[in-house]
Amino acid sequence: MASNSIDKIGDLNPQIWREIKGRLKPRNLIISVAISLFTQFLIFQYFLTQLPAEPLPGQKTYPIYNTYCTGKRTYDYSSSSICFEDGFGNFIINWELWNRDIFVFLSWVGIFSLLVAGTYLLINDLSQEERRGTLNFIRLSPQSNKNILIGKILGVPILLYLAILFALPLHFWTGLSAHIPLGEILGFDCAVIACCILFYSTALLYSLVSNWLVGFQPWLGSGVILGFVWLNYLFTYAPLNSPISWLRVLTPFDLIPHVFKSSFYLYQYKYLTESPDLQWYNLPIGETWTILLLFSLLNFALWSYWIWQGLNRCFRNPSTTILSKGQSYLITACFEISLIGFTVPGYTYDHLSNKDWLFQHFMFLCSLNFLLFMVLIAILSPQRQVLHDWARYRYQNQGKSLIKDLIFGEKSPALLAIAINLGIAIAPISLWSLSSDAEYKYKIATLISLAFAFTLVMLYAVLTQLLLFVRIKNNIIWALGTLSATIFLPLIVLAVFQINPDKSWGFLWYFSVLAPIATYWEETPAMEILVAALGQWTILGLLTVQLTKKLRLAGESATKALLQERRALPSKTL
Amino acid sequence: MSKELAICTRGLTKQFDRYIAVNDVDLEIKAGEVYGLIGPNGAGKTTLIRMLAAAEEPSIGEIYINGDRLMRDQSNPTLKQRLGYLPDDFPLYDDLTVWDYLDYFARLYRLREPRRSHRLYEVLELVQLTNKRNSPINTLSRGMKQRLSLARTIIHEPILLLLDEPVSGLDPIARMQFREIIKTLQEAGMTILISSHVLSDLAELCTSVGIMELGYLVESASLAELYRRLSRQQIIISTLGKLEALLSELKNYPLVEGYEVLSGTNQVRVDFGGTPEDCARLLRSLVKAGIPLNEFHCTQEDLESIFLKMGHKQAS
Repeated sequence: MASNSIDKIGDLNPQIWREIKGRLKPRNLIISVAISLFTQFLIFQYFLTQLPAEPLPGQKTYPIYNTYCTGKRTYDYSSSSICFEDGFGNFIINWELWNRDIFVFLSWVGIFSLLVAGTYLLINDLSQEERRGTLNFIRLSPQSNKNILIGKILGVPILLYLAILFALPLHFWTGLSAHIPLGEILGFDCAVIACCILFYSTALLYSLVSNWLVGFQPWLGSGVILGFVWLNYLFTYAPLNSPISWLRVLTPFDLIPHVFKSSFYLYQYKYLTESPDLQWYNLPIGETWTILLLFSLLNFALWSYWIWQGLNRCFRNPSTTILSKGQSYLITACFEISLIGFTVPGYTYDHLSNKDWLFQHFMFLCSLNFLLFMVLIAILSPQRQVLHDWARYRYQNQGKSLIKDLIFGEKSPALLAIAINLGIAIAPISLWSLSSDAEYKYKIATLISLAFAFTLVMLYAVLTQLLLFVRIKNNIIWALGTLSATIFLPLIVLAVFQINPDKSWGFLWYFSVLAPIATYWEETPAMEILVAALGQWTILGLLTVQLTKKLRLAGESATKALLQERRALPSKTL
Repeated sequence: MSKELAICTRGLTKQFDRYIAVNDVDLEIKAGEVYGLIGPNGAGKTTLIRMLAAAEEPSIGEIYINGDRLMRDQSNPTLKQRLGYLPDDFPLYDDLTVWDYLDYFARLYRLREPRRSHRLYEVLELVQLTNKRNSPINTLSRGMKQRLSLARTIIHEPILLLLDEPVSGLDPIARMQFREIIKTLQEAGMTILISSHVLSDLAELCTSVGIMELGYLVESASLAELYRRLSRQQIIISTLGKLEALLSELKNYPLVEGYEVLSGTNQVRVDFGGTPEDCARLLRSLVKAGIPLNEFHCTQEDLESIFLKMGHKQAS
């Protein structure tokens, strides 16, 4: 029966069939189910120990306090209540809260294990296939990319799914015992599935394009996911209606039903009831759980769509850029629309001044945009070989203008495209800050900041492209290392020597990633800002000239290079 | 583009940095041919085959398979259905059994039951692995793995096979088995491009040969044409009597262009410029001269000699 079903699945999607055949072996099945049941047993036992215990005979009987008792709280924000006993001498327990806590804790464990372990398994599997060379056979088959990759997503973590499947009875039992409506539990499960699709697709894309990391690839990938999920878990404590909420809606922690009513979030619950709901362009998306769920599902779908655009390109041809230049403009626009939506409703604190309000929002906006552009540089910068081919054989594509090629071309350098993306990102932020009710001088400071941000990102983009073009082994690692040093070294120097923008050596701020923030420093002389801007533009110009020179050289035919070498020889010998 | 050509490339070039691995190759292979690709290591054979299998993106140039343009994207699934590619390192899945491995690829190529099982048995029989069908792949020998890889390559009945050094590292028996399989596939009408350093195998299998050097396709012709143009006729002669007598007779015969005494024997290899009738006359004159011959047979220079004569240094 089971074999027949697997066979039918195999006809629909051979990749799932292959993964099931390779993984669903009796030993693996037993281990997976045992881990699931043992983890549930541990969680259940842990929560049993959290219930109030009778004092030992002979012990003094003070009033007993416990989270799950039903009496008065010790103080307002405390999670402990005084415990009462019934007529039989048993404690009266708030079983609803107890079950809710198990449900919430189980949901956290589920989210972490699905996202972190699942991404590890997928990255490890696909990178191994790529390294071994078996992926080429699959690529050559007439199956569509979608079929293969869906097969991977459904099949590779099959043992993890099985472990989760065995935890579902406890998940539903505790949820329903905590009087959480079945619809909400199922809605949350849908959100987790949508989130898994997004993360797993990202993991596949990452493993296709980062083969140069070799064995480190799965560890780095799942490590970053773990860090991100953990950070997002912590963000559930962060104030709403700031750009940070953009990150919050990328994981389903906020969608765990009744999470704020569980004892883990008692303080947060009190705090949140005094705060406005999460808004997006003043739309109250956090007003009800259902609206937040629908918004999150749309958000997951939007980013999954973009990731799949990259997957579709890179699966057949891993040497191509992850997105085309045209797609990058759209993705930047999507990102800005989505991000600024969370910024517009304003900060939830009332005590912030205009400047602080603008500064805090601006800082988050800049940070998230900085991350976007680092990703865009990685996505759009063509590899050395591709750029070489472009420089060498571009002349054969007669009739295509250079500008058009630089804006939309598949193999051309990404600098102009990055500049256009910067324009798309900066324009709405400028408009938003200009239309805010901040003071005039802060608006000017914001515009200058954005100009610095533009130059900085361009500098990083040229530097990356230049380093990717250098003929050295592992040039991607070198490019990454140099870029990291350029970003972090000035920060370390500034922190170690405690240099403020108005102190001597304060100009170093303008050559660090903190340049956009430095302009907010009121004591900074205007001349220093001007000189710093000139300095940045000069470096940018020099790097661009150097890159152009290298591209020209790469574009020369072998004959021309040979003749030039011959001509140079006699003069060298003289 | 002619439909008769199974493979046709136009200006196919692959450049790695400044190094041009494949340089402006115009390759034409007719349908039904077994085409041998030879050349020293680093000549660009593997890169060329990888490009033909859509496993490598050309720097410039076009590839046509049966007249249809081959692109390295999602397009042309039917074109990819026609290709079978066996790389030199033949990677496999160690966690599957022989049957499951082939079943997986049969499914990838959309073979449905009962045709799928039938085809699986067919290819297992062809590669002589029927008795190993339930064995895990990691228990197979190198030769068996090689044959299993070939079975995977042909499971979907491609019309064009690209085999990159398929017999490297195999013992003589495994090589012979492999040769027999290739011959069967050729009889089934497949076009086969095969690169190998074992030129004697290629001479036995191929109908045409291409020679690559430094990324260029320096020679591409049918084997018969190559022999006609470049192979000299040779006669191996042995005598039971004195070798000097035989040699003096040979010196006086005008069509003998040169000879070489095979060391340690009474055998001489003669480069002969005449027709088969002239050969018969030479034999008659030697017998008349009273030389006690115990061997006299005509032969041709083999592929390896031709290759070396052309100035290439082939590692075999």
